[in-house]
Amino acid sequence: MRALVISGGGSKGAFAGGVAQYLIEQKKNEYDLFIGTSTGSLLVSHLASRKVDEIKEVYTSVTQSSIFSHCPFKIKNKRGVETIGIHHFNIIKNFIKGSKTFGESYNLKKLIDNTTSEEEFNKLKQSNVDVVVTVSNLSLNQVEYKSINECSYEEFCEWTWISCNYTPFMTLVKKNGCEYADGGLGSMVPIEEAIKRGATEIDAIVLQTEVTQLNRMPSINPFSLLTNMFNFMLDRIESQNIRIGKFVATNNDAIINFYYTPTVLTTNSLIFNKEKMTKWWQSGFDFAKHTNEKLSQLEILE
Amino acid sequence: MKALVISGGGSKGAFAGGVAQYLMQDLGHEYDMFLGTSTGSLLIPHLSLNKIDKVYNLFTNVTQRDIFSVSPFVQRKKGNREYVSIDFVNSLWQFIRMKRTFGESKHLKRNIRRNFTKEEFEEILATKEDVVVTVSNLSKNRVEYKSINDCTYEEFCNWVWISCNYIPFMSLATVDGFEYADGAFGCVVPIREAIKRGATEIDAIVLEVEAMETKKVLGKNPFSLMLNLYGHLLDQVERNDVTIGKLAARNKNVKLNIYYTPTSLTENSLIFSKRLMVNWWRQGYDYAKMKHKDPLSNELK
Repeated sequence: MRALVISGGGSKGAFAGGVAQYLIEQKKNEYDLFIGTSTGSLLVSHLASRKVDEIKEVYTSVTQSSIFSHCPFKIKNKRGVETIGIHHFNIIKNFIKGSKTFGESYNLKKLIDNTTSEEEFNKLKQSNVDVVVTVSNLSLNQVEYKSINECSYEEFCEWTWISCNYTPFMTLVKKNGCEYADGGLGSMVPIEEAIKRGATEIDAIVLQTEVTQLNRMPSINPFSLLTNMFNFMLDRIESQNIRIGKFVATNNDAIINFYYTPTVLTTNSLIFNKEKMTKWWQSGFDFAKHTNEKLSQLEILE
Repeated sequence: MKALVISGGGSKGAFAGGVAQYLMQDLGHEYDMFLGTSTGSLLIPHLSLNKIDKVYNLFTNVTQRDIFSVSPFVQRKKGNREYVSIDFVNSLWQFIRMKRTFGESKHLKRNIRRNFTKEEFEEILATKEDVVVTVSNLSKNRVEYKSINDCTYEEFCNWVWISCNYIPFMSLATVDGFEYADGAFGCVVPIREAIKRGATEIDAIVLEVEAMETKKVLGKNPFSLMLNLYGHLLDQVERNDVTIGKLAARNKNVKLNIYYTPTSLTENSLIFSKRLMVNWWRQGYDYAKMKHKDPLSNELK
């Protein structure tokens, strides 16, 4: 059984799209299982129904306002470098409204509803391909995997949306009495789950360089310290996921092909820039083409 | 080679102390290697010298003032229920001083040095294989393991202190131009590191329940949500650490015993109360005893 795993990574998802396009269209890989986290879960349902051009269109035309209904950031252009600042007014507005988060992402929900049609969904459900998205259940402190086979169309759209909701900047969703957020908060690269579901050959697209190539800048205020700590832990979870994946793969005789990003694409994956994302899609495609498949490196103790 | 691994967990460290006391005094386990994160790294230097009574006294007599030089919390009492809230005055004071954390833990540093002497340091070097503490290098985005064999006395005390610095409530330390924080942010239970360093038999004390029994209630505003998310991420890191540890142990044929806390001990492990900590120490001792009689499986699920 062959599986495609796509990690989380915000706007960098465009790169994953390019890699996946090559694997599916040029290499003609047939996958039985698609698992995605965060930005990956936006891609997987379209990839599974082979609507690559359609999702490419979405990924390369998305803007800040097609994601956020209430954007907590202000993007500043400083000497050609885009940096993110806090949109104080919006945050205070959200605070007064009694919201638990700094921003809201209802526009993304709309975007998902508009791009996934119910027809496509039903076709996909009837086929023997499985599509799984990852969400974090914050109330029960666990990661949950939602398969297309267990959901209705509405539910699946909602789970896909939840899987992308990078709290505290995006909406926190309450469902069945539990509060849910971005799957990346629990499992960034769900290779382990793919193997649990029976995959024996896995292509994993990890939206991060294989070795850390940059130093984190020292934070300047308590707020940026908190976000720094946050990112630190997310990175740790990502590398732990990969390590666990490798371990489980050795135990179960599965093969993993890793596709890491060759360079640091961006340090702020919450900025959605049309030109950059088009470029990343292309570079993902080229990268997958030129790279000699790196077979699963099973020497676990590096 | 036998190793003892103790996870992070603030005041819950008292429970770990109790477990370790049973393992070392009653069962007579002798370890060559000691690894700890956060509260664990406070315990291990003393445990490695078999000074269990000393560490018992230290842990059960610790107060808020022994840790924080600027405490971000205030303890309040309503009836007989104790609860904790944020000390806004102190937090604001920190903010005005342009500090990035809500509290400072300079007193802890002083206490570590006071209670762990240079002679003891030399003794460990002479008698034990290794004592390792875990710290997170935030600038380099990685976890680092600091062995007693690579440090001077001053450096080692400093690393023990850094290993406990739970940001954003405690100090953020800078060493060699890199910012360091609590090891728990990157690796709560360093089982795999113990295996990498050559341990063949490991007792690991994990200060967390194996499965959650209650639903957590999330905070009402963005800031308390942020802290909840924080806790969530830490739990995930911890769970992954245990999984990696188990997998690595299976791969290398290492004998691994894990001791979890039977119930979740506290909501806020940054509050140090004598009554509770004495109680937890005893609970840890009893739990280890019970578990020894009735060995639960540590099988992979």
